[in-house]
Amino acid sequence: MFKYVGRRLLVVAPTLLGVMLIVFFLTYTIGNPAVLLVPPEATPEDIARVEAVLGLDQPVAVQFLRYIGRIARFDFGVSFYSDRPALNLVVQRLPATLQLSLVALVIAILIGLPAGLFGALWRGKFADVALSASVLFGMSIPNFWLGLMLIILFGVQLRLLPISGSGTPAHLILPAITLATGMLAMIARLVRNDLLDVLNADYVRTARAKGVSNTIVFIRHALKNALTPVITVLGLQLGALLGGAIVTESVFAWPGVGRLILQSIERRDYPVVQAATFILAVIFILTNLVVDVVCATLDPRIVYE
Amino acid sequence: MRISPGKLALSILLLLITGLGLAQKDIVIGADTNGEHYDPQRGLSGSAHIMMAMFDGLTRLDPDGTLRPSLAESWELVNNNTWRFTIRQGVKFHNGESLDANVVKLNIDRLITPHQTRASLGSTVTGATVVDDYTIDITTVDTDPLLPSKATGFLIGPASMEQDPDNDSTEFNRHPIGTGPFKFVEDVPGEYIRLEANPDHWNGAPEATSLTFRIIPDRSVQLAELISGGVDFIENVTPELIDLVNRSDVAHVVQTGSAISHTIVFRQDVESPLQDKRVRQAINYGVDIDTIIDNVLSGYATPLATVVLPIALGYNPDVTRYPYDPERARELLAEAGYPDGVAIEFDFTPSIGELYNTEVLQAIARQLEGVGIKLHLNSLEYGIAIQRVYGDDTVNPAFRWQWKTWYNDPDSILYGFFSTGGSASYVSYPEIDDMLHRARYNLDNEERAQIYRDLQVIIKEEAIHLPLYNLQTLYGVSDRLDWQPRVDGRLYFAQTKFRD
Amino acid sequence: MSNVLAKLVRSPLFIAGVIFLAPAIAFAIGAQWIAPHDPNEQVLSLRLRPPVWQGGDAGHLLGTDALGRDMLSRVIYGARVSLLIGVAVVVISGLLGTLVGVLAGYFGGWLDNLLMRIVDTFLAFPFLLLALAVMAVLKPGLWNLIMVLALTSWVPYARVARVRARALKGTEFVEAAQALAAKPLAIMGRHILPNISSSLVVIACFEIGAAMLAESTLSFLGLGISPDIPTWGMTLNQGRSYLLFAWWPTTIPGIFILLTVFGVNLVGDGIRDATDPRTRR
Repeated sequence: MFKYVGRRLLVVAPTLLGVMLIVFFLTYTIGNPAVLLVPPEATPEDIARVEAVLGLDQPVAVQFLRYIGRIARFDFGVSFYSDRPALNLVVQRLPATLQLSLVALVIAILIGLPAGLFGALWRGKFADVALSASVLFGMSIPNFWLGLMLIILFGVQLRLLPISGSGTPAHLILPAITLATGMLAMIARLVRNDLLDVLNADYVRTARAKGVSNTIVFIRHALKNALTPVITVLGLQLGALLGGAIVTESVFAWPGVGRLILQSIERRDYPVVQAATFILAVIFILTNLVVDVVCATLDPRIVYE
Repeated sequence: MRISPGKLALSILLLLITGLGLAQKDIVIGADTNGEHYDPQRGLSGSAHIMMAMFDGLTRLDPDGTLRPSLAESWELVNNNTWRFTIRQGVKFHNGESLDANVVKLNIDRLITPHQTRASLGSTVTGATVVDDYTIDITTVDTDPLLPSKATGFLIGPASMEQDPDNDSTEFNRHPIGTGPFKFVEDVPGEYIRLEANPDHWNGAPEATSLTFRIIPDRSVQLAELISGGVDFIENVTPELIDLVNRSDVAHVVQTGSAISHTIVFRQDVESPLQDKRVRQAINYGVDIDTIIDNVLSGYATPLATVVLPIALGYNPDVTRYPYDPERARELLAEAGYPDGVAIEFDFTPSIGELYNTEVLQAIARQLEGVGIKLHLNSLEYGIAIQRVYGDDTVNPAFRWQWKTWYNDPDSILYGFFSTGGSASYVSYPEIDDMLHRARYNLDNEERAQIYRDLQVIIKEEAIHLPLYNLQTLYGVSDRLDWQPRVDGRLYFAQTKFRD
Repeated sequence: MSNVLAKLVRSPLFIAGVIFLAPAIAFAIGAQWIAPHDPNEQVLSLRLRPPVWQGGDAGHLLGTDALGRDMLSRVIYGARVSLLIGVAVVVISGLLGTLVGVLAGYFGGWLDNLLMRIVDTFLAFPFLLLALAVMAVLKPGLWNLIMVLALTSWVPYARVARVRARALKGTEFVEAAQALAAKPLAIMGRHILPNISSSLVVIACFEIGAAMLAESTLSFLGLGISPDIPTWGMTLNQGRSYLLFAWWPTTIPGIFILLTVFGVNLVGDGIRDATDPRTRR
């Protein structure tokens, strides 16, 4: 296992490099930032001047080499708009994003896991259908709709919770619920499904036949093995959350990474887009590695060589 | 993070305290976004409201658009390409530095430095010469009648802003220092920027003790905050919600005409039926804008005959819209050789055009379909649209656009839309070019106005655009405030009074 | 096979699912016969009329939108493109993701490492950036939209297929098949795929709804298909500006997406019950 992790860590740098190469060309295809930076009355000469300041007048090859040179030194440049170092801008937003993502994830697990578990135990019974229906209901509500309704109910009508912004734990509640509602259905459904798969598997039947108690079978065999797909999906969802829950962040004016990325893409603030992609890549590479290790630990049949 | 009942109670208490804080003379503004760059020469348009609070220009505009003295007490033309400004004495920056002609020169030099992104504001300026401590001459390439108006945007920072003029000083924009009615306190990117009153402002201290521009991206949430007393001010209330705001007992709606002209541009430089004047006129005859305004926009817009607004110099009230006449539209289409109708590719951007943009265009398309003109609506992402219109000119033959009129003067909008090579212009009329040029470098406002009046006749006759309307801007304002809207759409709070 | 069918017909889950899905499928097939109005017909004077039971116009059962278009007809016509988007995205991304995941999981080693690093790379790009790049290079349109959505949603299938395939590879029956010198392709097809498909079906049932909603986000940013084609996602998103004073333009298409998601999941459960060989008792 250690060897495997070591090998995985070895390829982190080349993977990151690959990501950064592709992001350069992606940003290159979606337009010229200079046009968006100048006022509408700007002449083509004005645009050309701004291009020169930003170094966008150079041939692509030159720009690319410069870019690689900078990336190699972890220098992502400064935002075209705020003149602040791009990487700092992204890192600054991470704590708010982490807070929201983790709270949402915990809520989703606390509700989704038992919902899936009982769904599997009561398979086909009314309670199972009701549980499935309610989690699917949550999943199908668009985040902006749910967010606004929660705001109107708890913020405007009852005045129990702040409407938008951040700063106190109370500010976290509504956005976290909004995010969790969208995620917990996936968890519940996967847990239910995989538990059913495992409960019917031969070795579990054998254990049962040997007279091992239901609960022990459940915990020792079924749950552990059933969890691997769930954990895999959780890893992806956590990564996606960290990359930004754009809609939820916008509704609740939450100062997270998602809004920063959206804004930077919309106005072609390439240094920030590139820095954000870099951070996202690191996050996904690490969470996927952790997920792989956790899965291999839980289910001994999974062997990575 | 665990949220205990104690913490919850505490945060509710905090909320109450911040609620009480509002009883003080703080103004919280709910903004779509904040600019992030507060350098007087480099800050971008997104920062405008905030910059205007922290900095003063050489001149300023009244709410109705009248030009007034600001850091310059007076100005005069000393020869055809030199404007002389007399600088106000005794003005101090927020950090105690003094204002004089040398400081102004430093700012002008910085504005026209080639690599400034806002340099087009000073595009006619060639330089500045200090005459004495409080007198400065600004020279222009040619006679520029609009220079004193443009000087509203010549914001002035202190000498210390730039120790080394060649250095890209990025530090200053994070701790900006001006002479304006409000001083910078703190900026939390993505959340808010906070300013406090400058008690020593040359024009008197503002009544508000502080301004906070809070970013709330979602407009429904801005409204929720307003009617719950969380913010004191929002822009862009939708017409259907006016009653809700007015009935809320905490806020009211203030309405004013916007300075933005909405229009549909026809390209004449690419192969399409739109190269035929009769087709363009047919489109103008085929749209019943009044019905659309009355229904889709609940009446909160004024139809335009051309992009020139009634507030602008040289507005021609005798030029009126093409009447809605579907019969005439079909005739013209048939005359142009399209008795069976035409199909036109049309570009628009959901986020350009403000209120119910897509709905308005769908209503227009439906009306035009009735006279045999089929608009294929293609939606473009904002950045791609800007690129195609201003950058590489690859936009479709017809597209939706808008332009803001500055200083109540039509020079910029007319150049932008109708001059050969104008940034949103896809036509070339030597006659129009000549008229625009004559007006731009003319000091006699009556002559300029006459040229613009004549121009509107040509623009209408040629049906270069399908002009739409300018919207009414609806601001949601806390009942504590007496706030006055401005024709230029800028948000000023220095003169805002508190009701008791 | 008939056995499975008989089981399906007796499965309450399956029947419930079919009932939920029936309106959407009927709409998609027979929109032109079912819809009471042309979905693009505007009556500006009948703008934003509420549904009949809230005092709306008798001719418009579910009310009208901001241009006086009949909501019911828009929802009926919207089913066609929305279902197409949902199904096509799920089929394309599901096949791609499953293929990548099973290959990586079964063979492991350098192939696994390579494929999973591609997955990591894909995950890192903001969804919007990918969408913009594809739309900038190609042209906005239905199939390009489907490609963008598929391109951004195949990863969960790949990761889940991989971890489950990996676990199966260590089991006796796969090892037995290997010992019998069965071809890897046959093993993957006969032993691995059937045993991991239930997890993938769970994801797929989800992604149908997610794709319909994602389409609305792209439309909102001006990256979607032409606004002349009504889809549930677009109708829902256009109604967003009206949510505070007119609930129906957003909520009604939302309810149809919800019903479809319900239906797909219930049918999925029913099929699972009927086909799962191990549940035969």
